[in-house]
Amino acid sequence: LSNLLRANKQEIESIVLKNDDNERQRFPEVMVSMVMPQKVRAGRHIEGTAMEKAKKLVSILDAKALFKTPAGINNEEPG
Amino acid sequence: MKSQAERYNTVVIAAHANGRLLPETFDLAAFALKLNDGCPRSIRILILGEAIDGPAVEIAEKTGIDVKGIVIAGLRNYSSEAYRQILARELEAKEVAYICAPHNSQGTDYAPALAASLNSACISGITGLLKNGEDLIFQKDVFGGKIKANMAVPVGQAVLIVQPGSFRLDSGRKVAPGRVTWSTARHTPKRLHVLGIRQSEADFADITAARVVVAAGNGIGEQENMALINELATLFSKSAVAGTRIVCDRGWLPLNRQVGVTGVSVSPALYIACGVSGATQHVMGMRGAGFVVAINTDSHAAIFNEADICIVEDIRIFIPLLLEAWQQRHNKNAVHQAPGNEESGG
Repeated sequence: LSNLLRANKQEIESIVLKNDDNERQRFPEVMVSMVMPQKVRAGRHIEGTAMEKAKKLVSILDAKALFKTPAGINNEEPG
Repeated sequence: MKSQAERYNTVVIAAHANGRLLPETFDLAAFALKLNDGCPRSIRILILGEAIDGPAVEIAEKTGIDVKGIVIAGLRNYSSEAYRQILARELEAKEVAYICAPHNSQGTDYAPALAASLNSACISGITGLLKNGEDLIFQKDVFGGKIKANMAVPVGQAVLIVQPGSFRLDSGRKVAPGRVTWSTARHTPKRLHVLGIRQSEADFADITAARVVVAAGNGIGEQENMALINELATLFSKSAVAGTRIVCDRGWLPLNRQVGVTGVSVSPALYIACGVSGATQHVMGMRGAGFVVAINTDSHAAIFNEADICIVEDIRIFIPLLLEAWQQRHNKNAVHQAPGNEESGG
């Protein structure tokens, strides 16, 4: 608190930024526009309740044989 | 008066460590070639250090671009002070339009200071280059990759800090080797003494060999939620848990599990991004994945641009449900496969 009180009594030094060409050339890069990034992949959104989404995802990954089999053996075809 | 041989439109600063070129150097060469319509004669590569003969010759052979090696006695390791001072001296009198540095731990260290020394423009994190007639637009990710900012340099010189992996040199192209010339420079450390650089003992074998990678990002919220990520990974064989830089920096995962520019690149059959925003630095490390599932609460997260399947959910709610859904399906399949149930249908 004492530091805050002391700080409140300090004079504030103002710095005026020049807006001439020389100053502008110090920061010569400009943002021309902003765009949305392009999609790299199809990006299919799964809709529904959280449980419905979970079931759909399990179904998709199961179809791709990406889950462990019950015996813990990889589903992947050899080779 | 400058000789014709001294005139280059673009200078590339090579990145090397432990006597070897870093792959970012070739990405920079690809960027510089694109910048100069494929003309290597408009480009020069500068390489600084003590024992740089091998890397200098290698890059001249692989890119076809002229290389200037600046031999600095005693500079065994990268030093920001040395790079900034020597490059500023080397480049201040030259009419170079573009100076290209890598957006890695070295480039982001010295390049902005070099731009300040040269009174140049500075654009960091460049991921794309667009040409509109004579105008060049440098593209960079902002807002965590949700938006791309198109930047231009209307006048003067620019230091361009390029995101590794954004530009690739065509490895099949056959080129005549560039010339390699040499000069020497002296550097006496003043404020900064580099004592040594020790390589991490990280072993990335686990995640590079995995068939399924489950990755945790900042969106998982707390370290305790890593248990959910680990549990999800157990559903898959040959699986591994990985993370974004922030997750590894926080110590929620060891550094050898970090995927991205400063970690490792992975190419699993399945990549599940949990609470990963999709920042370029991370995405560059997982683009080789066969199938990508992204789970994030933010429907505008950049990771959804990189995913095959997008799920807008909180992983703290969704992963337990996913585990439950898997268990239900597993139980159903087990019933169907049990002896005596062959005719149970379904």
